[in-house]
Amino acid sequence: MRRVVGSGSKAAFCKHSNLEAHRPKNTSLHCAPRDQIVTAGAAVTIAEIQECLARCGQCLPIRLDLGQPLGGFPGTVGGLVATNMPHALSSQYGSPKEWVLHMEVLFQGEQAQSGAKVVKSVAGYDVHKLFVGSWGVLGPINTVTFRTYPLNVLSQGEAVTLRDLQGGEVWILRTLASELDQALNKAQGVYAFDRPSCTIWSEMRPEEPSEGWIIGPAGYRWSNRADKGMQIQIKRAFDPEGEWE
Amino acid sequence: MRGVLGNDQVRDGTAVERVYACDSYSIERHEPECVVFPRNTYETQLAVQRCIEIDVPFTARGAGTGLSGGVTAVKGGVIVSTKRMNQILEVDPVNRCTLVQAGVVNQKVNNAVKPFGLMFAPDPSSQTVCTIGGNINENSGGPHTLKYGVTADHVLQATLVDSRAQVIVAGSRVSGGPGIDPLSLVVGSEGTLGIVTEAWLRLVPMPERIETALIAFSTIRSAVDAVVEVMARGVIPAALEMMDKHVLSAVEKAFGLDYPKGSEALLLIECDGRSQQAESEIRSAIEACLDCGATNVETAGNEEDRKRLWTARKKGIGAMGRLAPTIVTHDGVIPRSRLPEMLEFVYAIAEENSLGVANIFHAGDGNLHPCFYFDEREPGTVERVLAAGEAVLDKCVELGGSVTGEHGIGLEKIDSWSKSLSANDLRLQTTVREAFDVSGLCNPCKVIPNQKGCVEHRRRWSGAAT
Ligand SMILES: Cc1cc2nc3c(=O)[nH]c(=O)nc-3n(C[C@H](O)[C@H](O)[C@H](O)COP(=O)(O)OP(=O)(O)OC[C@H]3O[C@@H](n4cnc5c(N)ncnc54)[C@H](O)[C@@H]3O)c2cc1C
Repeated sequence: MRRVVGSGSKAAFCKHSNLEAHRPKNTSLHCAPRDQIVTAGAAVTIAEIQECLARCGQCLPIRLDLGQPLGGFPGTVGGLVATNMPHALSSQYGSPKEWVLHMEVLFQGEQAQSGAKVVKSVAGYDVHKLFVGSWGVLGPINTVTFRTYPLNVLSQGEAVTLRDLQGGEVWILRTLASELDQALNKAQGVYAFDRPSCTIWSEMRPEEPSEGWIIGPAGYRWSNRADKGMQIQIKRAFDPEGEWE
Repeated sequence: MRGVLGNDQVRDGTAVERVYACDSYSIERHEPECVVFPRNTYETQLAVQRCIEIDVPFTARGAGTGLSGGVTAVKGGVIVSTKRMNQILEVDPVNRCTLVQAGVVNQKVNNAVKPFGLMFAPDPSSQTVCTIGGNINENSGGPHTLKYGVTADHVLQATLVDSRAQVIVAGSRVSGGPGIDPLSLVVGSEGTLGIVTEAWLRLVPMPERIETALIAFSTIRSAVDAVVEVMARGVIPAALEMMDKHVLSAVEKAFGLDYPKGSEALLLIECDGRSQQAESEIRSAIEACLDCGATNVETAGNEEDRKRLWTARKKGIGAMGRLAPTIVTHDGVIPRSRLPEMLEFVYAIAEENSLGVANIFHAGDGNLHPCFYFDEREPGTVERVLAAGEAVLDKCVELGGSVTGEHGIGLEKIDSWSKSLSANDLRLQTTVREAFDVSGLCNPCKVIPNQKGCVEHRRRWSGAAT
């Protein structure tokens, strides 16, 4: 069994393990601003992709400055997609899942593609989207094509930062708007919160909301979603040998 | 079936079978053995269970407006109509979502949430009749997809009865959670992974202000340059649609409307959001168009004007009935910067095949809908239409695009799509189908090529348009 590792910036959210690390190496980067897309290798860093896009007046809608206290975006494209983490512009521009148009992945030892490198396509199942938020369990992502946004969207965002990380643990909770105030009242050691996307980042483990999810240190995951059976079915179909953690 | 669901919910007989033999892709027809009308998830489950017991295929059907043959019962069997699953079960304005049954019509959802200042953003041109179940399964788009995204971005959770008659709930009202998201597979699966019975939809606030402009160009080239330029200036319009002069002349004839003389193409641009934002965006967009050589700009001062500016876009296809007895519309996508080249290709291929062609499409998305018009009674015409259509789709792939932006693969595009896939790409797709359609009875012969027992289909064309 192996574990896919990007830059390791989210290691605190993963189970400790001695598994062999598989590090994607693809650092190709191709911006096509007139087509509103960018194609990047999994090992390209978020900073690199933002820099390349900024030169053409575009971006991915994630704010690096707000990112730092909220868990950070120092990482790679592969990690960005595989973790699909909340960020300060989630409510306006969605999560990486909404920007991903095409992917090349390692599927049972072979390169395979899904999606199309255009802003709109409904050809076939969106298999590539299964890799978004998968935390690597289906195997490594090789390249990703994203839809891009005008650079000026980076001036938006209302996330409120209360204090710095200072080496503390990070727990992330998202719930319904109707439960947010209650969750905020109960939360301890809040680093930051984003009201529009109903997300709270805190130092202490939050109480489970009636609906929503929590990501915590050392592989802690909680959600009330009812499709765990389907998740297992997908994992088995894609990785029958259990090669990827 | 009658024993399971009751007489009232099962229909058969020649008339019914004929009506349910196809969708809006009417060239390939297969009559089902019966049609069932469950009212909820439980009754759907009973129907599917019965199909499995007697080893008969089943296919979900919404309004039947699909354009790629998705609802055609290729191997006969049972059509599961969602017509009676037509209830809006809950509107939750605080959490900006609504729970609806799959057979609810798109427009009805919008009517129900409008009093709360909310809307369901996907707006396929067929929205007054097409169903939420159809939208989810085709991952439908519309003119406002450019800014708001496709259906996938607006579905939070779906309940479905899968091919083993199990009820599964995919997704969550709280989006973005950790782990694999099976809902991404369900959306756009064209009815092949199960029958969707209910869904929680995401709602968005209605824009405070809408600014609309209709802009004329004296060459196709300058119009498509403007499409790229508008976006390059950091504006993402709510809609950015294009109509060429052939569409305009049809609309002029049909509705007595006048467009600036000498126009080769019109762009319809809409910007929305907060008042100030909408105003400044439309201003930038218009400036971009003028810089690209726009010859005339008309803006809407009120809702009535806005409707008038939209006439050519909304009624263009209908009006084209005046140009020739038959029209056939294709659906392909290309990277936006290749629009000039692509349109030149479309006009050339039409001329080469002695066919008329008009273009009316989602220019901002690079989603082309070339409509060939012709008289099919003339010998040899059909073959030429087929050849032209195939050449257009091949060109989309060659330019780095896709063979479908909104109509889906269904039956129509199995060949044109699958020839662009490598063996590994295809295996990735097949793995999904096989993991979920365990019984092999769920809408067989769609999307994936070379399925067991599916006859190879004829080369054909599609006759409706968006
Ligand atoms: C005039 C016209 C304009 C159109 N404009 C647009 C447009 O602008 N954009 C666009 O994207 N499309 C457009 N379409 C295509 C079509 O309307 C859409 O694909 C629509 O979403 C289909 O909805 P429906 O209820 O008619 O589905 P149907 O045609 O009944 O079914 C479509 C597919 O979905 C499956 N399905 C339906 N309901 C369910 C369910 N409950 N569970 C599982 N599977 C199900 C069916 O098996 C089939 O494969 C247009 C069609 C026409 C005729």
